[in-house]
Amino acid sequence: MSSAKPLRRIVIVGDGMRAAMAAAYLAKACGRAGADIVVMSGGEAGKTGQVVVRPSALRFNAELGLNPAELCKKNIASPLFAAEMPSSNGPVTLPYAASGVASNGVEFHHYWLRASQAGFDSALHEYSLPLTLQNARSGIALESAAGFKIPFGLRIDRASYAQLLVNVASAAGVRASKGKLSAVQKLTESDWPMRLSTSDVEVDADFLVDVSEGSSAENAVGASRSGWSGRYLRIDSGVDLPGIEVFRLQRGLTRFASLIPGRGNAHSDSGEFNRIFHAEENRITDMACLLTADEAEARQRPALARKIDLFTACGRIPSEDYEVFQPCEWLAALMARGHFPERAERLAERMPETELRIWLESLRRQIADLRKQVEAA
Amino acid sequence: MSDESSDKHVERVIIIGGGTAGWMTAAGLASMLGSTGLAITLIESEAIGIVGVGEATLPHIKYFNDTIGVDEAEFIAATSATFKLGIEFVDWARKGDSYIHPFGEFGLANEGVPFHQYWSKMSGALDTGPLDDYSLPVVACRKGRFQRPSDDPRSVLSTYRYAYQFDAMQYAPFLRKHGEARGVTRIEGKVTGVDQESESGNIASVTLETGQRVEGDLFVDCTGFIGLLIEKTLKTGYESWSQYLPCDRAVAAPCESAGPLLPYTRATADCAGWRWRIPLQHRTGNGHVYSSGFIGDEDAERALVDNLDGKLLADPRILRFVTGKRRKLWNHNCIAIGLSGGFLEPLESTSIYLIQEGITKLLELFPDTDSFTVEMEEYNRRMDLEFERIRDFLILHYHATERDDSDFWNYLRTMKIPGSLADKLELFRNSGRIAAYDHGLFLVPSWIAVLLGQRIGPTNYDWRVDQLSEEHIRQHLSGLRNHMEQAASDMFDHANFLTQNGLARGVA
Ligand SMILES: Cc1cc2nc3c(=O)[nH]c(=O)nc-3n(C[C@H](O)[C@H](O)[C@H](O)COP(=O)(O)OP(=O)(O)OC[C@H]3O[C@@H](n4cnc5c(N)ncnc54)[C@H](O)[C@@H]3O)c2cc1C
Repeated sequence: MSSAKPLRRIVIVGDGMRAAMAAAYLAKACGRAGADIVVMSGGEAGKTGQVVVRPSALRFNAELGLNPAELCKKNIASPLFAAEMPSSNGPVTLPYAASGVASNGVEFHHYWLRASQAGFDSALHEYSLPLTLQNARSGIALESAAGFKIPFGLRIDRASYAQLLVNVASAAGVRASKGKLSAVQKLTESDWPMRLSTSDVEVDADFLVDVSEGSSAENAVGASRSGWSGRYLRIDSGVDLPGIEVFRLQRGLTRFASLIPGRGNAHSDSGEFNRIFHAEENRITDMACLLTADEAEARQRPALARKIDLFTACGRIPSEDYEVFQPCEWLAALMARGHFPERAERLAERMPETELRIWLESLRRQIADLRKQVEAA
Repeated sequence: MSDESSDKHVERVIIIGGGTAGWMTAAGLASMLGSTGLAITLIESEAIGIVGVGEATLPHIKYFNDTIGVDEAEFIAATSATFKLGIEFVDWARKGDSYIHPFGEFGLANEGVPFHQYWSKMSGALDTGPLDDYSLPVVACRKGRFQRPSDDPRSVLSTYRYAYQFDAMQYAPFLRKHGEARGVTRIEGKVTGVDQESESGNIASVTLETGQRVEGDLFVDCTGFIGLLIEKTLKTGYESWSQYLPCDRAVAAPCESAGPLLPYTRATADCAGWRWRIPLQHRTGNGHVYSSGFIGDEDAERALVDNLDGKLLADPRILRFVTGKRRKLWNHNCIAIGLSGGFLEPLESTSIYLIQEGITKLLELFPDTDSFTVEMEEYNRRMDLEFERIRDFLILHYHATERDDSDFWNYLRTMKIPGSLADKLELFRNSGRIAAYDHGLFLVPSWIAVLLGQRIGPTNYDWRVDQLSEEHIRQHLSGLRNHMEQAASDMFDHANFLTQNGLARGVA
């Protein structure tokens, strides 16, 4: 058996943070096997401001040697325990960890619901550790997150993040080529399968990764959809929800690296990539639709309709393969959009009512105390 | 099905059938919902009896037992159970082949590249050895060793889980004690009549041979292959998968134990099916699963009896089945759990797991009233997915073979397989990669074990493997192999482990 012949050169088309993410990661994943990584950027300024990194993307950063505590210390980033999403009813906060604590295998919100229906008046956010830490100073927040073992993301300055990634990429030997991609030519008589041209240079490549904000290569290549087709991978910025742009890039790049084809271009690898990439895209669109579309439109999406119906019927949130958002985020979004369960899960009835009230009261007090400590710090 | 205007609170669950499915359901519901005022009644007929096979399990059963508060030592002693670390497949891809599908992982990933990719690169070298050598549960199986896994993720002893091999006739009675102690009412008798509500079609009550009428809000059909409520009454329909899984009979017989007590089940391919061998503390369970289209009952029985390790202890008994599942596992106010819901044949010991999944999902979606369309649809969707993914995994064993020594194997080797499995095979063949999913029983290590065990060799390995020098990989492999060998040698002899821990039959 032999390895598929490694790709000799991957050209990345894009600017700013997006291209830097791709360059740093692919250099790390394939550089050591000898692949030459070239970034072709049109020199566009790209977006500025802040970008949200979901908790799942921290591993990606860690693989590139970027530590969240150091980023926070340098004031480039701050920890984030929830993301504020736009919705038709105004902004909605989706926490990265659940409120309260699950007990006996039953999610906390079922207990809260049961108590509410029995007249115990409290709001779910009063039990939320992430929302309590959301406004804490960086140092305290990071310490608490480690202490309570709760996930957090980052709000990060886009340009500074891009610069850090550029440093990683340069150290790994990535080359930059200025100039906007103008043509992609398929080669038949050459050792190389494609030639990419700007107004100044021509670069031969085995593979093209397009992360441009527009669609620099799309027209040149003739592909119409985000995903992997032949020797072309396009990761667009996706639905405009906080955290999604970086999530799509991080997931797309890591999955591409794990499926990376040999020079002989394997159809089944791209099929596998697209299967998961598009499933995730569907889950993201489901969330966007829940937040902003009307009920009739939401019902057009079977997985979303299922979430609404099951949640309304019994407070459970069904999961699909390749979920992007956690159940606690769906819970917050569903409730913010006016969907309330008619009842709690039957398993939550096992806790006697007086015990339930005492437990909730004590949890609420603990969170309130923590909030005071955090505010005083 | 449900009438919104008269939503009735679900207070009474009636389970029909007292086999493994019936008593697992009763014990599960009583432990988890008994304290909420739910009344649970189980009706069973000693005259009909239980199927009484189903002796090999998967690691999930330990979780079930733990959740409902079963003491492991009591359970092992009561059911003469042994520990199980995997399944050995003999003669499947080629006659003379043997591989083990373990309840655990192979090697260690390195630089984000799965272990088997490194092994694939080096597999031609003499000193690399089979993939089996890099899985602790496999090495332990081959040595007849056992030890409970460790919780410490840094320890190699944390890389596997275990299941049991037990006397199927004893598990239901054991759980019966457990269920009755938690308030389950048992009624002995044969159900001869079923009454349905005229408008909704829901089941209202069942009538016993004695004339006793038992009313309920929710009915769980655990009547075995007959499907008394789900099929005979509700005419739900059955989706047959016999075009993919053509085995439709089994002949089963126990024999005396012989040789060392092995911590694994063996499945040996035969000319029109396969034979199981399940070592229990007091005897060995055996069976021959076959396709009646390719072999007659007498020949099948002979193939079983001729290959026993020890003296036959009871007359062989024939069981008939059709692989597949009910079109709806939850229909009206009836949920089919166990053989009444479907059967995928016992090759990977998945039936008790499916019972457990049925119970878990029922608990999660337990309806409050008789207005439960949404819960029912979700239950059916998730159970369908479980069945379908297991089906694909089973088909793989039969289809990925080089055997051409009988019509049976020629049919299976050349048959058209589901697209979901064909895509998986293509991906693996190309690059040794596994198409993963989030929901479903068999995870990546299981697919790797069976794909490679069935001689599906990837044509390429992941080229990131070449980032490490051959010498480096060789050292990594040899270190791992020695580590597995040492760790397995330090484990206990399986039989001694049972005795020394007070788990042997009649000890606890
Ligand atoms: C050949 C073979 C090998 C198997 N091997 C394995 C294995 O290794 N691992 C595994 O996990 N599974 C295995 N299984 C499956 C396993 O045996 C079953 O899943 C398990 O035994 C559950 O059976 P059950 O309770 O659904 O049905 P049964 O055991 O058939 O029980 C049916 C019950 O319903 C009652 N009943 C029926 N009709 C009436 C009526 N009219 N009135 C009152 N009561 C009634 C009966 O009395 C009985 O109590 C195997 C199955 C077969 C056929």
